[in-house]
Amino acid sequence: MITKILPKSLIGQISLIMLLGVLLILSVTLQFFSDDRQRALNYVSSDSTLDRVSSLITILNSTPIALHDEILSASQGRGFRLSLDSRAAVTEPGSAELSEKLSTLLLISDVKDIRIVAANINLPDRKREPKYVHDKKRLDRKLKDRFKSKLSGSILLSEDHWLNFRSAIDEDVSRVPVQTIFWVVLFTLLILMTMAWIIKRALKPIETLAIVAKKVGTERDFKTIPEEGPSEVIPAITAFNQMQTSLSDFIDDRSKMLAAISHDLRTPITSLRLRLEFIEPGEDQSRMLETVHQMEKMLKATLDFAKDDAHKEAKQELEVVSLLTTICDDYRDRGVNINLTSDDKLIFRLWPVAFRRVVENIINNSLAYGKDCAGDVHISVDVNLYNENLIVVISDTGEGIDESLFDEVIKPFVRLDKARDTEDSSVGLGLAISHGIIQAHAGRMVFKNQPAGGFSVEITLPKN
Amino acid sequence: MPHLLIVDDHREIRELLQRFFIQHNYRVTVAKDGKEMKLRLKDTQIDLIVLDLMLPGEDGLTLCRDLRVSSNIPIVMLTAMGDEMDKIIGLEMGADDYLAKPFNPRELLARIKAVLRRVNTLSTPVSDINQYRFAQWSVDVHKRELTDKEGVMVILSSAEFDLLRVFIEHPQRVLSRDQLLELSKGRDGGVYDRAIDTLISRLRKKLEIDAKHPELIKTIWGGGYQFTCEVTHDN
Repeated sequence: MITKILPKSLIGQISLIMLLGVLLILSVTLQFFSDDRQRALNYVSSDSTLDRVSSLITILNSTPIALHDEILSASQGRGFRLSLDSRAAVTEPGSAELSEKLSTLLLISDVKDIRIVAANINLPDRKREPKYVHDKKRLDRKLKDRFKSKLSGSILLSEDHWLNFRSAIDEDVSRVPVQTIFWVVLFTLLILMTMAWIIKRALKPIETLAIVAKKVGTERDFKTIPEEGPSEVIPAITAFNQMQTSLSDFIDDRSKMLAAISHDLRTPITSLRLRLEFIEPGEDQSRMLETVHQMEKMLKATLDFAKDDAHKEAKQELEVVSLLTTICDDYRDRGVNINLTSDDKLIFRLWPVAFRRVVENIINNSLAYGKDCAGDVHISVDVNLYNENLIVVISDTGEGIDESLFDEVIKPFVRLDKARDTEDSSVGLGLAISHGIIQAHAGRMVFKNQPAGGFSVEITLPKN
Repeated sequence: MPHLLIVDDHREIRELLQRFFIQHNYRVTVAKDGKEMKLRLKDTQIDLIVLDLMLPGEDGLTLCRDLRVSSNIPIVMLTAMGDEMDKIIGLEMGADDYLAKPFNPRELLARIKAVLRRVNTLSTPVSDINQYRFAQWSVDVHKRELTDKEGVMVILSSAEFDLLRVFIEHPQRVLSRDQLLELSKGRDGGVYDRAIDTLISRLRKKLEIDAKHPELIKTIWGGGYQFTCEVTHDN
């Protein structure tokens, strides 16, 4: 369940973890920061409020009562409300600490009752003001209500004369400003992007490794990867490079050994062939000529298989129809019944010699084993492009091959039983060579027995 | 009687080849390596060299290239089996023909005859030109490759290629079927028993924009065929 939601890539996973971590740290920090700020603001604002209240009381005490209302309205200000009432707005005793503070500030000491609370208390004559304690949402919306009371108090000046005050600080000042949030988000994004870039860079060698490994597999293109990147990845690169070296050495050794064998074998065969020219023509001579010819063909097939030519040849833009026409014309000239179905032109990038060998091997296979009941061979070659893939189908009208043997026949040196009886020089490499070449092209070779009889080989080569 | 020089490091092969060619009315001198070959060339008038590619000391390719600097003597190269690279390099180094080992002695005989005939009868100097261009095509003679101007390779059979080569070496000339047969055989011997007309029609299908209305290879009534296109070459 969770694994489905989690991103698959390492970058995604690390980014997610980082994002959650950064958000957590930031929100905790912001909370601390804002609490701290709040406390400082409260402190400053309560001190100044008490100062104001004390000086006001001093003034009120020294002026006639008739002037009190005027003085009060002049003393009010932003977030600071005052009123003179017959009863106290603050009914509870209030904070002793704050009351103490005010008393010490007051020069006159005949104040009978001081009640100060750090809370929101409605002043009695402000009835139209919303009860923001219960109705916070509306309060937030209204500008005139954005001042939130932080300190309220009632001071008894004389009998039935209460000075009620209520001071507030700007709510917006106490909140975390939008700008701060913007910067925090920006920094988070910057951190995440930098981190993603660093991870991507660190993963680059692994990507290169995958690309090179694929090339080694398909094209035998051995290329040493530079040993750079994070220290965790370097051992893998080193090991891969070592593996490449030993693999390419192994292939080189094999090729050299085969070249040596071929050189050593071709001399005795040549001399046998020459000696046969000096023997009286007759049954023996022609049989021996046949045997030598067979040996030559077997040697050639083995060398073709071992030489791995497909990997030496350069890929080339090729007009495939001209190649298949040439092959079919050659067979037709030798009396083979072969038909080619194709478009006019078909351009594809491949290895010309190796591809020709594939097609010829499959046709030769049909010639050898694809005889129908009358003993004739009809071969058809069909080529077209499908989804940018080159598809060549070569089919005959013979008896086909048992499906259980499909995997067997592409193995080297495997021949079907009926092939062993013939005097054919086959060594069982034709399809193995073809299969190897097709694989090197990253292509596929699929065998099918036609419902109407006959065996078909379908080659699919991907673009590039 | 043509005089052959056979250069091969295997004594048995040398002796057998010598015996075989003597039987077919050739005079034969043998050499076991490049050093001996040069000695024999000094004191004998040789008509053709059969040169093995793999030799101790200087190899066949080096010898071939060195020989080409000083003489036009025909060379038939014996290469490793079916190795495309050897064949191409051999031709580029100036060999007139090649044959892969192990070979059919009779085929070697036929090739030697063909090379000698080409050198003697036509006495056209073996041209050094490798790259030809005509219409949208370019031809690499050594690699035997035909490509269009986009670099797309078009495959010709060896007989078709030999015929095309005759045409591009004799542009604008009207060539009879006999002349075409004579001029094109030899290289690979591919044209021997194939009708020129069939080859022409196959070539047209591959070269012409519209094979039914050929522009490059025109049929001349009563005369044969004419390669009408202008041919340029790099050299």
